[in-house]
Amino acid sequence: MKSLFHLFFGIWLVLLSWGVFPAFTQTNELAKINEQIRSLVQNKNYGRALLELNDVVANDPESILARSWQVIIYLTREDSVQNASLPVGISQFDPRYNFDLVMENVDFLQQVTAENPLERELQDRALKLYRENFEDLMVALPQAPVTGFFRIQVPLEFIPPFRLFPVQQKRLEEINTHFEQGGFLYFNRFNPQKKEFFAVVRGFPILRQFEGEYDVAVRYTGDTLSLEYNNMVRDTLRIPYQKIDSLVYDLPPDYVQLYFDTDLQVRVPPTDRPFIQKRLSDYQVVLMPVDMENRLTLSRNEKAWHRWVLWGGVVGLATGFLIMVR
Amino acid sequence: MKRIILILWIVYMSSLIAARSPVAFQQVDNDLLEVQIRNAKILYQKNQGTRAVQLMKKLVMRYPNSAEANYILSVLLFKVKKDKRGMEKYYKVAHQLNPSYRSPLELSEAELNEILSVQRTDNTADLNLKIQLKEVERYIQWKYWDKAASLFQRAGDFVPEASLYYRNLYYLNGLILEDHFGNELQAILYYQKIHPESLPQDKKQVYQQLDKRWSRQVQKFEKRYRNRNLATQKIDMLTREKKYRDLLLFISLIYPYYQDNSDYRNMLDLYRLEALVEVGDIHHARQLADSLHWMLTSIDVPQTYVIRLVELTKKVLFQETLLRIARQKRVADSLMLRGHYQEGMAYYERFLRQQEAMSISPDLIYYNLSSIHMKIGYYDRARDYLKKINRKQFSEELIVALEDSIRQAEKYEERWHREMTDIQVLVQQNQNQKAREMLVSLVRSPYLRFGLKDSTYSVLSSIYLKMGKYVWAREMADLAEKYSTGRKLELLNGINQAYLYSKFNNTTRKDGRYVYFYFAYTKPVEYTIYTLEQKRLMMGVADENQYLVSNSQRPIQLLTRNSYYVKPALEKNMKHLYAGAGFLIGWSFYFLAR
Repeated sequence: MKSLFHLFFGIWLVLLSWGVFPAFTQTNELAKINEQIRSLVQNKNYGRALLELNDVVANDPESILARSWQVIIYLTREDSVQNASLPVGISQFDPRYNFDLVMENVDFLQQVTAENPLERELQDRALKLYRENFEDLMVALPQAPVTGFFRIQVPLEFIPPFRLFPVQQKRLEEINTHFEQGGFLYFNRFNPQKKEFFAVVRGFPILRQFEGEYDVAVRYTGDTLSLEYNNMVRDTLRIPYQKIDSLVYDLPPDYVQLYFDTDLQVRVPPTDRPFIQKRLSDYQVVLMPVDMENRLTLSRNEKAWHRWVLWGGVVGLATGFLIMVR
Repeated sequence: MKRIILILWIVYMSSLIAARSPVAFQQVDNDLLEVQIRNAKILYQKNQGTRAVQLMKKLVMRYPNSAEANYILSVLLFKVKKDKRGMEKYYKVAHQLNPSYRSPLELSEAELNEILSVQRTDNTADLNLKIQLKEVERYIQWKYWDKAASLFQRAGDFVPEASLYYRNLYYLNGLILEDHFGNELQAILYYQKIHPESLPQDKKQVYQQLDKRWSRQVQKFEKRYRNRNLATQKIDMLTREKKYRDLLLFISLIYPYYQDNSDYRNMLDLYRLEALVEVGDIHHARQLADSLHWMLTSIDVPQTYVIRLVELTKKVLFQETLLRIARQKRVADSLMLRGHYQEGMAYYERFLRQQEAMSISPDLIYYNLSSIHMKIGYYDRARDYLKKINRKQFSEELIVALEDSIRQAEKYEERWHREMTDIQVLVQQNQNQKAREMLVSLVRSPYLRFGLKDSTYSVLSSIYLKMGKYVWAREMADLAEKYSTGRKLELLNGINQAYLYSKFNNTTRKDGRYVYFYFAYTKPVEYTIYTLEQKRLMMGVADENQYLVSNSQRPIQLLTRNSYYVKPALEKNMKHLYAGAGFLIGWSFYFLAR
């Protein structure tokens, strides 16, 4: 019995040294890094704090602590965000503004579960900061003669009713510059209720009031739309089809679009993925997801007046015979 | 009447309060502007014209109504960038604000140089110190003591070059802060440095309050530590507690008390030397050691002092050598990590020769050699160097830790080779998530050494790229480049292109693939399939390009991401013709029958 006790005690000690001590050391290490970054941020030494975080990322690219701090720093620094230049490519990021990194980090933080309370606290803080300031804006193209997975060019400009927070203002500038330079909007999200595709502008600044709407100017035309986007209401931006400059289909690798004559009846196997079958001018169009093998059933779609004529003939003949017989 | 006087008094006081603070801030701002303009001129003088222009542009943004800032920027743009349009833009503003400014176009080369020259009479240190002290005073007023202390520390950089007036203000603020924090030694030092007669009138009152307390404190301090025993006790206590910075301060305060006692002064010098060695101020330690060299030959100095001086001088020399080696060691290690093994080893061999010449044990060099060999994956040689260390003289703890690290690094390297093979397979099978998890786990290990980092970060970068995390991919590509001998241009270009494509599109670019299609009809039928040009599909207009012909019973290969027009070759439907004919015949029978 005593030896068994010693055995368990030994196992317990080994487990302790494997699990508890490394965890304790790790927590200490995290607290130390956190304290260092916190103090740098408090002294507004953001550049140094970001460099320190780069070192953490080099040793752990998926460190919740580092990724959360990066979000917090980029969303809260107000020192010189206005003077930062917008990214031209991935190699030219201004250290004062990097919203692409913020979005990548937010996507990551939304998916992971932090085990450490310190990391959990930072993760919550970073996500809360993002959600308070930004959300994805949905853009719809109602009643347009299109199916889905297409890009449009439309020269929009979002004009806020008042000056936004520095990082929000910069993000809005980035969005407006994108549209000004002829950037595309990609309609690749599907709304199953309305059976239509919509586009998303990621990280759109929320007006931090309970009321307030953006003026959305369509450049060169003088037209203006309005978009309510505040703490209470997040509207979908509905662009009239006539306002767009160009439209190009860009299907994903698991989709094809098939055009048929309207007198054919086309049956497509049922699918859970986004699917659209509709009539566009002189064609009927099927935008369908594909597998390695796909079967479609075609049949003749007879016109109604053909049927009237056919049955009219039959009735006429029958009447003629009847009269003849009588 | 009383009421009117009261109202007038309130209006006067409030206008005074409202006016005073902006004026004070305005003053600080003007000083700052002056310093920054001077800094821009210095940059220009140092042939850093572009930086000077950048600095001035920032200043003009901050002070758009400053005639001088606009004018200096216009001159700089004209001189450095030869930008006449920019020059005219800023000159126009400057001229409006101050019509006495002449256009840079009208000025000779000598006049332009004169404008951009730095006046020798200017005292930047005074201005910088003045600005810093204003901030410190503001924080002291608000009782933000920590913030005030950190700003005060920064202000110290300008003190050596500042005039007596500002130095006095600096010491007064120091005294206020140290008085608050209760640092007796530091407070006495500041108190002693203040010249009360040079203080401005408004500060004299503050000084008098502090003077009452600190003059008594200083008297007590002097009385106490003029006693050699008490001074020695205090020194011993500070040495025991390893408070070497306080020890240096204490010695500097009591040193004047023992001007006539050369024996005790020698002892204080030795303590000062020890403290300098301990705080790592080798430069001053070396100077002091040299200045005390005379002790070695003097017969008046006790033997114990001589022995202590020899010991400390040895320490200083050793630390100096270590510092020199540390710089060269970084070069040697960097060479070895980048694959220049022989060149790096040549450095280490030189260190060994130096150590031998100075009769210093080579154990530390062997330890470093072992460590660097572990980092480049030469584990057997790392063990060989560890064996060369004299275990009795060197720290056993360090040796054991390094032995353990070598063992762990060896195990990790085996794991790395095994897992990287698996990861390559997973990447080929498009199982990116699993590959990513394995790679992140490899990166998290402290044993990921230089030679392995390049490929680990590169593969991780390409996986993040596939996942649409472009900034993360860029971070990893940068790290891969840092730890490789060449540039990662292909990887970086790939990331850049994908980033530009996906910006606001929220998708990654992928190629289409061929899939099979069966178009079933009620009976076998030929059909023609036209591929429709993607770019011409705008607004639903199909532009037929080429066609494929097949039978409804046979499958046909179509490329995804494309649009096709499918047209079965069906016979003409004559049913309506027959029906129409039947209808007519039927009715004609009817009419005939009647």
